[in-house]
Amino acid sequence: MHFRTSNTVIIFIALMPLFSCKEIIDINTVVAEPQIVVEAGIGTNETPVVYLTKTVDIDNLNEFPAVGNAKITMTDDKGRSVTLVESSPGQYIGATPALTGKVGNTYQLTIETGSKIITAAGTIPSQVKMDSVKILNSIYPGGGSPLNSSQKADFYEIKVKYSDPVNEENYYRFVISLNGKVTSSNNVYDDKWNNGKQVETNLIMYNPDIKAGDLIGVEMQCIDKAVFEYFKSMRNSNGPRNASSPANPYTNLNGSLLGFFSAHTVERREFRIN
Amino acid sequence: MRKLICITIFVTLSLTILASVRHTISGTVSDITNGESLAGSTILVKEIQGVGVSTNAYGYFSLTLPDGKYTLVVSYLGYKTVEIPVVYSENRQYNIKLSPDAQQLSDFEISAKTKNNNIISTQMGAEKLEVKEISKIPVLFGEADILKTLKLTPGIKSVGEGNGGMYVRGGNNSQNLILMDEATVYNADHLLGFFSTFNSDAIKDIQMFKGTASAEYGGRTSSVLDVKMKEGNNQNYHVGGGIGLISSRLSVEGPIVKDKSSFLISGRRTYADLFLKLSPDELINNNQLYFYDLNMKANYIINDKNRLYLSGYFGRDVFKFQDRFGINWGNSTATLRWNHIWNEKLFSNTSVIYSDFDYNIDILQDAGFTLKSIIKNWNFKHEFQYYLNNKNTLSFGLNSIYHTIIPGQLELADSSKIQPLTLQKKYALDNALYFSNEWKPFYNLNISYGLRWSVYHLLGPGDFFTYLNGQVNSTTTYAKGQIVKTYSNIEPRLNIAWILSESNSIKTSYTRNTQHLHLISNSTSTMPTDLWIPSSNNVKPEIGDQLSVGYFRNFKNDRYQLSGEIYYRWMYNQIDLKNGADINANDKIEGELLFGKGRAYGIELLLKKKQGKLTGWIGYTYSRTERLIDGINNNRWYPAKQDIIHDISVVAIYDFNKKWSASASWVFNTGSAVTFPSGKYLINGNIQYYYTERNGYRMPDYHRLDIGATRLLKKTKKFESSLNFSVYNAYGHKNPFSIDFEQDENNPAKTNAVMTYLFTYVPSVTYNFKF
Repeated sequence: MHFRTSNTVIIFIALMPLFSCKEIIDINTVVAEPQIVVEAGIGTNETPVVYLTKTVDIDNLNEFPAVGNAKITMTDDKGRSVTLVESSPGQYIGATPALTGKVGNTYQLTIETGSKIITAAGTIPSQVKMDSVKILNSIYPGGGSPLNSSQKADFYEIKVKYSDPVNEENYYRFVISLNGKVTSSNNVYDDKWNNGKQVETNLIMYNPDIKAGDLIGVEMQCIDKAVFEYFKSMRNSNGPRNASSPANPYTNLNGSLLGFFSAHTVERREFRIN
Repeated sequence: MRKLICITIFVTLSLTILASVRHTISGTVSDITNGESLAGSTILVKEIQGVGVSTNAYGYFSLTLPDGKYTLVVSYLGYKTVEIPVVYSENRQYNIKLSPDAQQLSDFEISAKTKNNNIISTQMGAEKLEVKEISKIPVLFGEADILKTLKLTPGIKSVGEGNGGMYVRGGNNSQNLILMDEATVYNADHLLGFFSTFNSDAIKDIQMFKGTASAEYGGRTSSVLDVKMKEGNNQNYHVGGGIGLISSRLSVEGPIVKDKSSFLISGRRTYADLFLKLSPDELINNNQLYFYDLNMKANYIINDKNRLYLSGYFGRDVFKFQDRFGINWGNSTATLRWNHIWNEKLFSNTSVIYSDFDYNIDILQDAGFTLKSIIKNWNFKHEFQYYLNNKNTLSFGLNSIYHTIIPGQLELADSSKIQPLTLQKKYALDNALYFSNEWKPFYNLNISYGLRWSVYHLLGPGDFFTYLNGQVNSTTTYAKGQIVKTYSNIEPRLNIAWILSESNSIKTSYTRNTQHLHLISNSTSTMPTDLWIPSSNNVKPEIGDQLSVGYFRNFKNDRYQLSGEIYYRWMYNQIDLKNGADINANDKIEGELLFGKGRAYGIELLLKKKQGKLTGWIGYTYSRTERLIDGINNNRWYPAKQDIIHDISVVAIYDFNKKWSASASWVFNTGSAVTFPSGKYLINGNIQYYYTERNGYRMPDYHRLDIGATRLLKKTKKFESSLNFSVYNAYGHKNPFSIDFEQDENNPAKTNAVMTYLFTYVPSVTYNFKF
């Protein structure tokens, strides 16, 4: 069951354009001390990847400075350890296959940059595989006739089926990409309502610019609870309009406010639009 | 000489004995033209300073005096004061009828004594509104509205545009006890707060308690809004109504048996969606958006000692977007009351009350489903008023409420792929015993004190959880009717009025209130889908303490009333929600709650002119309200969203002549507290915002002028009609509904603050009639 509260908010919000007008205004936002943002992960059979950037002021352009020259290590609970190398500014990778993700292993991340030490830990949960994936091109999600004749089928519904195991708490994340670029990554689910059942998630993408030959990527990850909480709490950090007071998502990092470290399983599929 | 002394003693003694023979005059005060009882009219004894009584909620009074000849001065604002010579020699019953004062505008006849009720009563932090007064104040779409009018008085706020919530002295919207004929109204908004559930045609009077409400009220920590419906004219039949641009009203009232029983039926329907049909855009013209409501009341005077009232309310909002989804919600209430006069000093009222609020969300697509949610209660109230003597009036009673909450129930179309789901129902019993006394120890001192003892039980059946770090730690299963958790609270109330002179007084009050139903919301505006949860093993009752001091002064023969009040409020066991928590369809919501406390303080100044060609008021409020919630804002104090620091409202009504009257209201307030980002970053290819503190920013100042004019078209004994014109937001100030940070459409590398606003000028015309 993927009925979310935000649906009701959306219903109301759908009404608002009937009355409302918009205008760009000036808000003097506080100039805050730049914060380090950590995006770190290790997938099954993959080497760790860490991106370090910094926040910028709201008034600045969306150019986020990379944080270079950090000392980053990852160790697992089997005693293996790797120091990540900076492959491009702010991007750090485990260059040797000495340490790759394995289900059940716990990984410890340590980042040293300047005087700051950021740590995090995560365990790769057992893998649940996709039973099937299909992509439907539709005029309106869930079907239905067009509202007006000019409406085109600009919705893409990505339907992933998987069988949730009954004897454990499972958390899932789906990352959708278009031509290799991540377009939607905050799709997380738990098994509260469908423990032990076959589940069909419907990930909806709206993009009128998709053309024949484009590549849609679907990545399914089994994540731990802390990463699930991170993405869940991120839902109202940018929020639908009038969502409750926004706040930074609950991170699983120690020593930094922004970002997350995810140890997860990986399964990828790709679809060519024709 | 000795003899003389003896005689003197004898005479004195017998006089004392004679004087101590006391009798009681009791009865009711009502309007002569329609039989409506007049609650809160004053009966003063002309011969003895400071002795008198007010009628209770049903217009009843009882006054005991030593035998003798007196003159009772009976008055009620807007009515001709009458002086009734009485002889106290036996217990008597008087049913006093007052006639409306057509000349009240020139205020010649009303004696000074009767207009200073604001000075002598112990009540502070209270607003009493007359429907007559409200109907002249301009509002959105020309619909007179009591909640909107209340928000024009100090200490009662709305937060921005398009938010129906009412925030009283720093409290939350859900902490107001809103009663319609004693029945709880869970959601007082129609159309997202642009209208209230109260149809002014059906309302007799409104009393708002921002401070200490008497012990009979309980269950909410912030304020009490007590709305009473009209009883219906028991003399003649009348039809009244109004036709407006987006809504129309109709009401019918009259006697069932003249002088004995009457009825009132009043209905209202909006048709805003008809305008949507005019749009050529199919996305817009195929929507539904309306509300209707219906008030009904009947009463029957069985005899001098017994009277029955039956009243009900039913209202519903309907919104449908295409044939895709819809949502409808509404309140219903029913109240059966029995007034009984046991003897000349003892009055009782017994009520059986039902009320509910429900919403339904319909997803109408092929795999459709309906999500239903209901909160309802059965309420039994038994109250006595004992008029002990002219210094003490006692009230005592018991109140028992049985709550049922059905948080969510999913009903599916056959083709649906979603699993059926019913969230656990919640049951609770809320009992209270209370007593209070209005005590007048001296002519210049009025004290009312009381105590409410509330005992709350959360009842099974069901599974109840304990949580550790938001995770279920243990589960206990309870059988039907088994007590899961009990909370017992003592709630004292105290009001003291020290009357310095006939035209000025100092008052102070203290109150404690507890609340066992909590509203959980993940939106900054009030939504019908917000979730009510009962106190439980995890959720402690909310507690509010308030201390206030005020100075009240009347000028120029009571034409002007000035008041200043200072208050401080402590709030405990306040509730907030974790980021991103699901509130609907979540059995483990209690694991997603955060708890803390709050504080609020402020100064309210109000200058009112109640009589003359020009009436109205100027109000100013300085106030602060803050919260400290474990897990929010790094566990530091932060301003609540309703932390509006300065607030000014000006209301003026001017009667030019018998035909024309005009009105204007202007509000200004500094912005409410809001969380804006202080930076941005990139994660997973998406821009996210970085927040440094909760509610650290302010919305822009809010200000708006509304103007209105009423032209009386025709007034005869049989028929009356008028036209009302109004303009909402007359100078078209753009008040934000929300401010969002969005990426610039033309330059995606840039972030803009985008303000959404709803209304600039909204003119409207309403035709009102009565026959």
